[in-house]
Amino acid sequence: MVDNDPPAEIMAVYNPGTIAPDPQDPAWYNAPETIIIFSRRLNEAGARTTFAPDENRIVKVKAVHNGFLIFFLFRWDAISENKSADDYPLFADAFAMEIPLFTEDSPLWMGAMDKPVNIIFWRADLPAPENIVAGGMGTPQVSPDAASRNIRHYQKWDNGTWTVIITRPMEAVSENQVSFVRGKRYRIAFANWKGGTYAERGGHKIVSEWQNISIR
Amino acid sequence: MPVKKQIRMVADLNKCLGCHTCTMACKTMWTDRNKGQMHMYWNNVETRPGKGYPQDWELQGGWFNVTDKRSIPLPGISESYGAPWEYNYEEVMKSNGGDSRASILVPRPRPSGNAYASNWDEDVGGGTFPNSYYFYLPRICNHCTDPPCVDACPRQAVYKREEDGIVLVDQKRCRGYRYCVKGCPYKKIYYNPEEKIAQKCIFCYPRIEQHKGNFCATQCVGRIHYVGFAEDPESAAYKLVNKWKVALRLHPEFKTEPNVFYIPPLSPPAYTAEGRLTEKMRIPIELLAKLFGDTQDQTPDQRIARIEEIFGIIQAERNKVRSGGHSELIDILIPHSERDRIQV
Repeated sequence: MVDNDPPAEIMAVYNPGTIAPDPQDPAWYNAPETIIIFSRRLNEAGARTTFAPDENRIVKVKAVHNGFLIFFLFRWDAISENKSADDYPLFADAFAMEIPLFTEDSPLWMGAMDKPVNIIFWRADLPAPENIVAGGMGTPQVSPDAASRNIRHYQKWDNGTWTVIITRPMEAVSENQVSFVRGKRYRIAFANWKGGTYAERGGHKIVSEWQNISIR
Repeated sequence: MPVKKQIRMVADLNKCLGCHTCTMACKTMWTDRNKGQMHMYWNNVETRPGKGYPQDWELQGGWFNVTDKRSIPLPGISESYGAPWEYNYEEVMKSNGGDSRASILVPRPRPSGNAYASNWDEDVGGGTFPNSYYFYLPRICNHCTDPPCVDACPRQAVYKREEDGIVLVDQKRCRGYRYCVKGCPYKKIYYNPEEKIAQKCIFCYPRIEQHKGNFCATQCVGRIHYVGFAEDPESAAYKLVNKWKVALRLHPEFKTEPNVFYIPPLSPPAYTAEGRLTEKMRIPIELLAKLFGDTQDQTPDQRIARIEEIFGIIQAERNKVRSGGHSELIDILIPHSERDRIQV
């Protein structure tokens, strides 16, 4: 499978009124679906990157907002549901989205010290997604401020598919978050980890190239 | 980063009576309150020969010898460390009235299937009567000079303190990836499944900072431990390792340069089939040589020779004292106070 070339254009459509973090919410009907290809693989405990042309791993992305809250809907294939990290050999499935924190040209690989990135990290065993800031490989840190714990989610694995919704106030509550502003376009990238016996975690993951998201 | 000082511990296995007081001291001090630590024994005492804790840890490998690091197994809590269980003390001891029908202690939950625990094969040992044998091996993190857990962590969450060489996990940086568990060939770094982070022996650093010994060492009934800095020639630990050269590393072939040393155990003479005593020691020296040595590149024969040399030194010094002489080594091995053993 090839790359998204040119980069995909994700639309976060405007839908006034209440939106529930639920895939059945009518707000999703008008949201176009974008297919993002995970085209690069990182190796375990090392930053050697390789193209991943034959893994056929993709995520289907939708985004909506109501002017106050933004919602991301992610769907991807997962043969098994791995939602426990309660023992040494157990690893949970995970997913993340990455957006440059304040410079457009942050490096894809977790940003850089002067070009940090804001990451929302979901893992199937965690009570809530984490707000993370990173300034380079090995530096991601969960934001310590309580305000940044403002991310809610929905998750369900069914019949070989994960459906995950991540929602957050559009306006950043701290310097550790990106503000989503109507009319603006952002770079965005995604990462996916297969838990279970695949034991993907940390740098051992598959990622997309930078794509774009426009807030309508 | 090179360390300024390196903490070291020597354990004299001739004096270890297998009472697990060190284990319980450590457990009580560090791992009996927080969730997810029940299966952890930062200090454990295993019977040798035996499978150890976690089960068969010596066979699992580590960062030093495995090219495909993904193939290193991660031990499971129940089958490798032992599911934590409680006994029905209240019923049997009848401290609160109890249950008149309950007469024996029963573990709950009852271990089943591939049950295991930290001292599951205690005192089983090896050999056949009348030459059966075993000895005890207390283990903590080795606070290695070249720690593979530090190398394994992609987040630099595991680090070696510059001031004393103690290896610690930054609990805020750790993301629970468990590469460190794979990396450590001694399996002395643990995973807390509740907090989802790695935790390990901290060599009681808050005590070391106050010039007190680590708790496993100070509470030891047999007074087997010697603690000091590798750079302090006046310390008992230094004298045992560097001057008298009677202490060896556990599995130096793991190439991590552990900083816990052991004085290998002497044993009573073996019997012949006719019941006559021989010159041979009951614990096969080959078994000891599989465990202990000086350096990573020693051959099995060199290790055997070194252990024989150590036994010779100890025996000679014992004889010296027996015949009325004085021996610095025996003075160290028979400490009278904590100050004789611990110089931090």
